[in-house]
Amino acid sequence: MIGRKHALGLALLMALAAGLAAALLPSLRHAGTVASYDAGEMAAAQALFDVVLDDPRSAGLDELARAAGFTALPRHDEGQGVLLQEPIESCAGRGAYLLRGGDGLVPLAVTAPHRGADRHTGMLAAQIFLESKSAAAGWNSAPRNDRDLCGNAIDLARQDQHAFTGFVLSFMTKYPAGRVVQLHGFDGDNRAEPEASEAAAIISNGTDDPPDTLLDMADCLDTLLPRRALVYPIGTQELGATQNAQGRALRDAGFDGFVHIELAADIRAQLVQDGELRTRFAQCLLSGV
Amino acid sequence: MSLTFLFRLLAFLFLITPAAMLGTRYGPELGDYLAGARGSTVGDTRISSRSIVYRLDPDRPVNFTFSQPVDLMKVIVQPAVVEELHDQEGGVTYGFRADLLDGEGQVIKQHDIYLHAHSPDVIYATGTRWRFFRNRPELIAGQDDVLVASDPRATSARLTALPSDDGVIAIDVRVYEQRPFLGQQAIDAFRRRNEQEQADLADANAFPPDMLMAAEMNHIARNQWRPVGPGGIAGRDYLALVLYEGSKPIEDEGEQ
Repeated sequence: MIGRKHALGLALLMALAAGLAAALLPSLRHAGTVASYDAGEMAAAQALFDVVLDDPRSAGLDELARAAGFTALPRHDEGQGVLLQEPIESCAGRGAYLLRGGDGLVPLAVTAPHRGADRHTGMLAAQIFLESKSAAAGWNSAPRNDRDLCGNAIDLARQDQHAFTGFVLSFMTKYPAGRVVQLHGFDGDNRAEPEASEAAAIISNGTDDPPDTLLDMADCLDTLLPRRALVYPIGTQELGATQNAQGRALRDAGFDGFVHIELAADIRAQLVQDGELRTRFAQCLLSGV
Repeated sequence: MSLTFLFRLLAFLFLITPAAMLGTRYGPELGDYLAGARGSTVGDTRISSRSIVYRLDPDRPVNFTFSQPVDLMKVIVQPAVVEELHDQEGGVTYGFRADLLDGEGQVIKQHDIYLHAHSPDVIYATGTRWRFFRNRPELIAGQDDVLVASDPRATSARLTALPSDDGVIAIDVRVYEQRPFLGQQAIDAFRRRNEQEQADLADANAFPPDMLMAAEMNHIARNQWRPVGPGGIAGRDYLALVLYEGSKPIEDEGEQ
């Protein structure tokens, strides 16, 4: 039984999360032409992220942001650092990012590259960022595929040269011992293996050789979630994210803290609804770091 | 030299000769196995599976409630032992109590089940797979599985650790119930599986799934076991641990 004070606090937090999600995650139906990136544009975005992660209050931030196609919105009073998003009327698929600076932050970047298509992942990433002291969070700003309401589409998890990839590389530079988590959603009915179709989560680092830190996290989730948290390729041969662009870029740069998590629909819904479960889930995300 | 001494000498030579031959042939291999056995939980272990196990308590039972009354439950069980018992000759003996309960919570039947397990080193040396915990000091001795029958059918089971050999730290279990099917339901359930699942289920059969007779499909479907989790709150009413299973790397046999 939660106390009244606790319930009020929880309601306030949920309202904040909903407000944050509304500000961060405009409807994908507004998406227009998708931005194409070259190495120079990705470098510009990465330079912006580097500066914000170092000092979110740095002078000249607006100019750097404009050069990279973003608008910088300080949200220091809300404890949310700086919001980097493309102008609403642009919506070219550069993504939306929240980055905090300073001491005492958790070395975690929680991302949802398929929000909209993978239901609840956008909200879940926002809640985890808000409720923990995570250093960074990132989302897609255009739909994953053209079956969505918008005609334009971009799958960020397949973009080698993109602000989203630059974002994780900047995070890696700032937090070399940190963890980059990508939240995804899967439909058990579409899985070939019975183990995968019944799983609560499938966890991978994008390789066939999961490191000890990933197994620590999987063990934590396995005893937390109501069904199995499988590790690719030990428990299932599906959803290994071996072609994930951000995972590949981070590995090439020598970073081993990339984690790709596929969550079943009911688990995503539970995590968004249940604050206590979500807190423990966020703690698991940092197991082994 | 007496006749008795000569007979004894001949008997000794008769026995020592094949022992020496076997020792020459298999000794180095067994030595390598046993030398590597102590490090079997670390190093270049190839992990083949992960399972959740529940630790039995000697003072407080762990409760498992079935999805419907069952006449049979399966318990996969293994003891965790102190590191000093890694090469315990003769293995260890351990036990657990299974209370089977009806819908009113009354005990229908009580079984005290004692089992023998080979030491961790023997499991490593003689098998192709072995089990271990990551980040925990205890070692896993031989695993066993037990079928517990109940007449009348039980709706739940209470499992408690029984006094076991010195050095047995804990007893960890997984509990399973058979999938509940009646008559034609089992065949329908088999047919509803996709092609790959049917092939996996019928793997031990001589014929492919599309050539199975109704009775064979029925038996295959009924022989599926479903895991049952404990009741209560994790950490308070039960302790869940992740058990790893390792497999030996395939030896490089060189060019053929």
